[in-house]
Amino acid sequence: MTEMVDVKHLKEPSWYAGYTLLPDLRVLASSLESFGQLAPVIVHEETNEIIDGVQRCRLVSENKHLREKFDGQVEVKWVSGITTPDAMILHVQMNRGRGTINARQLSRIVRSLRSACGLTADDFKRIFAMSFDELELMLDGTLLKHRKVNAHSYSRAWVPVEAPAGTVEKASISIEKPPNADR
Amino acid sequence: MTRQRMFLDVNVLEAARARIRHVYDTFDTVCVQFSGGKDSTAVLYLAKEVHEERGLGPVKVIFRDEEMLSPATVSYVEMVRDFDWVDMEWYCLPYGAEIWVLGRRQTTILWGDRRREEGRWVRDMPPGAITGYHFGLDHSKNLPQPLDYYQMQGKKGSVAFITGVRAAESMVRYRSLVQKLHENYIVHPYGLSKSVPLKFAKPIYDWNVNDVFKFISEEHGAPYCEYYDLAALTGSNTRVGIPLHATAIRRIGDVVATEPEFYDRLYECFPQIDAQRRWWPDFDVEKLIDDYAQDGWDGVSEFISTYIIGPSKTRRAKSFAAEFRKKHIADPYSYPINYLIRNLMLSELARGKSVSPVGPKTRADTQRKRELSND
Repeated sequence: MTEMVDVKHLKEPSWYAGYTLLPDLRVLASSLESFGQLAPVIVHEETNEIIDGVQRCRLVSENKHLREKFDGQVEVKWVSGITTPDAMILHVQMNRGRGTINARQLSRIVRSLRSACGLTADDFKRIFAMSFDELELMLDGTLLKHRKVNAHSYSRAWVPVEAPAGTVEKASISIEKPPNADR
Repeated sequence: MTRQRMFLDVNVLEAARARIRHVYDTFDTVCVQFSGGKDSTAVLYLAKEVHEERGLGPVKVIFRDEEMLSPATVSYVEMVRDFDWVDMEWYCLPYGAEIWVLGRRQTTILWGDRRREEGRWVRDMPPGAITGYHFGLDHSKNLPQPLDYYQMQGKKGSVAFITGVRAAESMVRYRSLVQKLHENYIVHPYGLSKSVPLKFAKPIYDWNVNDVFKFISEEHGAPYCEYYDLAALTGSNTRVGIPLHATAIRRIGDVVATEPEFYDRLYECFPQIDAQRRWWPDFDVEKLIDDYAQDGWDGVSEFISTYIIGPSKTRRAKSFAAEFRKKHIADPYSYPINYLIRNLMLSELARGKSVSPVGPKTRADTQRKRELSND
């Protein structure tokens, strides 16, 4: 069951980890303007925190045309009987599925779930399909750990020389490449 | 005889410390050219070591603010500026920067008057910045002299700017570092008049990324720009700098993944970049090059008029094409037309860029060999 609720009664959670780029937000606004609210906003009943639909609520609250069109109300589907960590998990699951999640915030949620609820690597694999490597990265979140800098020994220095081939120790220069393809 | 690397019996840290001491022994004024990135952070701390050893007071630092800096980089540079052992000159000078979108190139003036009037500066100019006005120049057009010329004004005697350039960053940088045999890491800036007594010193030229982070974190326990942790979290490239030029914008997804709010601000200032974000993965560069190349010199002219925007960039592209044409007439296989279009579309079209033949083992070289075998 859903109901229409004044957007002022809903809260944007501090752990919100989604992000919609401005151009995509404009597309969303245009869609709401043209076709109305086609899917409900998901809200945690005990806390009034929005689990899914933060951007739609922002638009209805801040965009004059949309506020007038919907009379400041959004269609809400309440989720009750769950804890805040459960709400966080549901939020990540819904957004991770769509591929729109802010890594910095996700890292905070993962650390908070680990410390507050004692979730294990298997739990993270089950609820977020998160590999052990990804989990480790989210828990530590620093490049130093990621690159295993403390285990690294300084390289040997070199100078350029003009010499016949084969007369000096051979080692081809390794040019650094980005870790992923262009995107 | 070939140019090769001879490995020494010292590690890169010991060698860099010896090189930077040599720079301080040799030049009257030494400044660290800082960008907020990991490499210039490493040279900053190497310079700090020398200043402490010799009681030289604060390290002179030059920061060239390129306006389109990510929030993480700006906060890090501000933090470094406020260190009591740092004496930073913060420059916001007007010069041309490229916006490259799906092959179309145009230039904008960083900190330019027109964009300021339109409210399209990516961020506010920091208070106390050294601007073009300090040199009697307005911000409506590009600087008449190279940037280094302005940054070395007021410095006494012979001047060295220490940079974090490393050979492993690219083949071009590697080649630049093996060109000289004596003091290979001390060079005169490209394009600057020889009468200007300025040199670049590159003491960490032989370091790799892990050497850099090990030095920063273990020798000094120093902070580094938060961007690198965001890059690790999102599997992005570890480079800070202007994100919209021909090479960097191909990785605009890294900006979206690491600092989406920064992408939004860039989009507000340069709305055309969103086409790059949406379509680059599906954009067929090779087909576009072939389409124009098959029309010969007419195709080249049409490419320039369609894809190069603005009078100065168009002039530069036409002059490059004219130079290329002369070489093509003498040696069409080393200077094929599709290679010209590739250059016009993808390479940096710097002032005075010289025309070079197709390099071995490049994509253009493979295509050329295929055509030769078909003949």
